[in-house]
Amino acid sequence: MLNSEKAVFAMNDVDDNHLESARVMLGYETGKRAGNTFKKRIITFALAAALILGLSVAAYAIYRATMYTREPEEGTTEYHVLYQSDPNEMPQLLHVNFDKTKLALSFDVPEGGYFPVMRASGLPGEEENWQNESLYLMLEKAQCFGLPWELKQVDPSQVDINPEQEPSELLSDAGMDAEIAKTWYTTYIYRDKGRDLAGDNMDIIRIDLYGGYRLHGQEVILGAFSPEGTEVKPVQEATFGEYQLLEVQMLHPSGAIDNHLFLFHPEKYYLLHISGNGTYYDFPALEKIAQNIEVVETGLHVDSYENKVNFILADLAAG
Amino acid sequence: MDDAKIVELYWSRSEQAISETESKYGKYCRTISFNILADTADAEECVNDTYLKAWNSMPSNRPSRLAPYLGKLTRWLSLNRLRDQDCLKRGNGELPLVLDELAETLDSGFDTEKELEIKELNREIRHLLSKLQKEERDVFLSRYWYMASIAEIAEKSGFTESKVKTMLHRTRQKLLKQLKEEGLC
Repeated sequence: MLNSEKAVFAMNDVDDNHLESARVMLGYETGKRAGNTFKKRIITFALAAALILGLSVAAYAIYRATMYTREPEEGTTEYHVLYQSDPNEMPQLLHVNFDKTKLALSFDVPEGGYFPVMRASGLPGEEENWQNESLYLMLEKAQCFGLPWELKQVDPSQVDINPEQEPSELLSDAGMDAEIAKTWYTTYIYRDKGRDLAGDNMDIIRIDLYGGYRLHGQEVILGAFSPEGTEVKPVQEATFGEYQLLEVQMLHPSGAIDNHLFLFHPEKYYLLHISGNGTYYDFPALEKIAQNIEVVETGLHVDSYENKVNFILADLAAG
Repeated sequence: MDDAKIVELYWSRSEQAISETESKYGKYCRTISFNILADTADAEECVNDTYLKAWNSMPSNRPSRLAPYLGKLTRWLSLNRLRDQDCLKRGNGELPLVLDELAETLDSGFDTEKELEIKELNREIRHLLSKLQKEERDVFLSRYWYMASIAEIAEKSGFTESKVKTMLHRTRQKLLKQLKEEGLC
């Protein structure tokens, strides 16, 4: 066989990501709209069939992924982290050193996956006693900026992001059903606006939902930006409904405490991260919120982008 | 239906796996096969063979993404079909043209005593692809993996045909340089 012929055969087994990138450029369809990194068709939004907490597991065997914890070694070189310093700003890539990170979570999830959204209840904005003069709550909901931004990570030519645009409009542009885009979110943040205005970030509670595509090849880290002397302590590992649960406490030198609940779904591969200021939210309070969160999977497929962003910062803006 | 569910259907030996695969990936697989074989009936047979291979390979394989998995099966089966008939360089499709382009770089002026192994070539090609810019890589794979025509690549990429040809030529030269540096030619 000639070398040219061998090359044609040798090329068959190339990296899947490279192959998919070329397929997208060519616009070769896979049963969906061609010429894009994501698919516009929304899977029928039937709650009965969706990933609602407490839904029974399908009868057939499902690959079960696991969440792992580890204490990072000091001196590890640079990593890239998706960091959103202000909920009104687009997330940015930061390049920082690893040596301050106190705890990292990793996940053996498959590449790619569908964009999930959630709906939470029992949050402070719904309770009267949270409304007082010293505590100005600011609900930063509809934090679904993630999807268009993430799609852009996969292919910068695909999604135009206008920070002025409403998140729900961005999501509609990305192919999500408009009603879902308006009422289901990826992040809830309640912040003490009074302290925020004084230039001192103070999150009361925050809920983040990460699809499996975000977790593939990445780690969720705690403590990378915390002041010297901050402690991060795993408190409990357990099963919580269908979730693998990890409870972590972060003790700041100022005396402030943050409580973190990590809930990983081993069959749907998404992670719910609920973090609360310890003054207001102990672990039972966070667990109660977790019980009332509904998660659904949209039909929007997102590729993993481990080479662009390899860590997710999980610190609560507090302390 | 998402890929994970289709894979589960294969693992649970449900024949619905085939119909779901056809629904989602049939057109894609047929495009790959037709680009190589340039014959609708032959391409159809190869796509059916792809489904059979997929059925026999799951379990034990559990691909996280079916598009590249099925695409590779289809391409491999389509190329083998031509090789078995000893007509890789014949036909009306893009393959003879692709082979001519590759031959310019890989066949002429080569040390004929040094026969390249497919495994070695694969390693070098993967290495080359990992170093290329995204645009170069997309164009290279569009031509030499998907066997798309120069005109189609130009249309889809937004480059002129002349630019596409230049990009392909430069990438082939990079491959040749790399092979020489590795002492493979």
